[in-house]
Amino acid sequence: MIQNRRKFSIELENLNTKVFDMGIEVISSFKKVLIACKDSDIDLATEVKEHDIIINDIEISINVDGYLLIAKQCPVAGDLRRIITAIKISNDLERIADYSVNIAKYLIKTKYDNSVHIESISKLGEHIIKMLEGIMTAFKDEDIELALDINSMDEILDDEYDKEVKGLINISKTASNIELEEAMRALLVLKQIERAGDHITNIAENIVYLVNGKRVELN
Amino acid sequence: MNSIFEIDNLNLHYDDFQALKDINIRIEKNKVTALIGPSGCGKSTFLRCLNRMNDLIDSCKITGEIEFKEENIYTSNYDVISLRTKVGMVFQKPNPFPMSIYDNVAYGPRCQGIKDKNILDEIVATSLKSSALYEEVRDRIKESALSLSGGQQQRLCIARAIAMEPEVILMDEPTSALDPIATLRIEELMNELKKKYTIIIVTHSMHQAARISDNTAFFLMGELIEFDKTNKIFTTPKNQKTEDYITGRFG
Repeated sequence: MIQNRRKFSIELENLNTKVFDMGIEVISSFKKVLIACKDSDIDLATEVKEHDIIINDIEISINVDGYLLIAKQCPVAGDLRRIITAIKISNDLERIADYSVNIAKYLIKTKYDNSVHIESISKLGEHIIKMLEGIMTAFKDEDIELALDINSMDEILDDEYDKEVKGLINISKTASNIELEEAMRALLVLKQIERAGDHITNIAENIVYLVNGKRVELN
Repeated sequence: MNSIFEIDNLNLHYDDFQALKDINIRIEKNKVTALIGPSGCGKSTFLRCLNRMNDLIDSCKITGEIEFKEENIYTSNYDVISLRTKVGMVFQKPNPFPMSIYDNVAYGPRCQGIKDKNILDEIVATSLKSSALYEEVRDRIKESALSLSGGQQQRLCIARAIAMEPEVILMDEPTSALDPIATLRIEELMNELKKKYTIIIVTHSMHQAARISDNTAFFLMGELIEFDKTNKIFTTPKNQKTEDYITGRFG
């Protein structure tokens, strides 16, 4: 059989690569912000904040490429699913990157001792990095089984988040105003890490759709 | 499914060449069914089986069953003239008769013995309205049909088919000779016509099939590879051959 649409196939491959590269950027952003937390490195936190514009640009570029391919190539079936999922996954990755920026902002703005909270943020943050690395591998290999394994890690994240929230509630019972303020701000950050897990779940759903066209609700 | 055609184990040979292989399919009433596939896949041959147009080819041998409204159309005593009245056909190239617009549409009813001018006037007007041509030609209905544009001529051919009050309209690449705007008008028309008629269309345009049809059948080398809802075929086809064809990877 004659192979057609070589140019289109290359463009689809490039779109895929862009999504994978965006995932690497987001993982890097999350890793850096956790190092910044551990080392109280405000410069590194500032770098994470400023680097976000590049991640946003990649997302826009993936969206534009996707829209152009839809308009010009009229894709169907697997090709259409690939473009739609690239657009959707890039949106989820962009949101996850926003959460790493919010952790960086939290670090930059913190005025008081927050070492207890940093420990909690790091713990949940490390879990997110493992999930992110796994889900991007699942995306690259189009591995539904791995995507579902990563999805199940979100439950562990939710349990850990609940534990941390209960801990913060206990602290607040006897806390001074300053401690209470820090606890509240830490709670907001922890919530965002928990939300990052939900976005990874969305990516898992899109990987399933990409591979077999089935819509599943995992979250 | 409310089927109007039920086809079982249909095999068709042109002498030694087998053009259709064991086709089993149900055609849903009041829906648009698109037949797609590369050239020579058997889709037009299959379409022509549905109103026994292949009877005109001596080398053609058909086995299996085609039931139209639960009656096998290939029995020796089946009334073929009546079948072709109920199952009309529109061809790739607009083929109006070299006579007036009015006479083109009135031709079939006149052949059936209708002579009353009032009745014929009404049939012509209704048919032209149904084919979305009436407004464009009402002032020149006695002029030659050959003066119409290609798109108008094709709609006239649809009106001519409608005048016979068919139940099914077969269309063999009805827009391949038309420009994009005329094509869109015919496509829009099909959407209206399916409320009253069952439409089966052969098309080389995958995107036309995606735009206009409810069900799609993919043929390849005389075999029916996949038949499903159009929404399913164009998002998640089951067969890799279907996926390869509709995504343009071969053909």
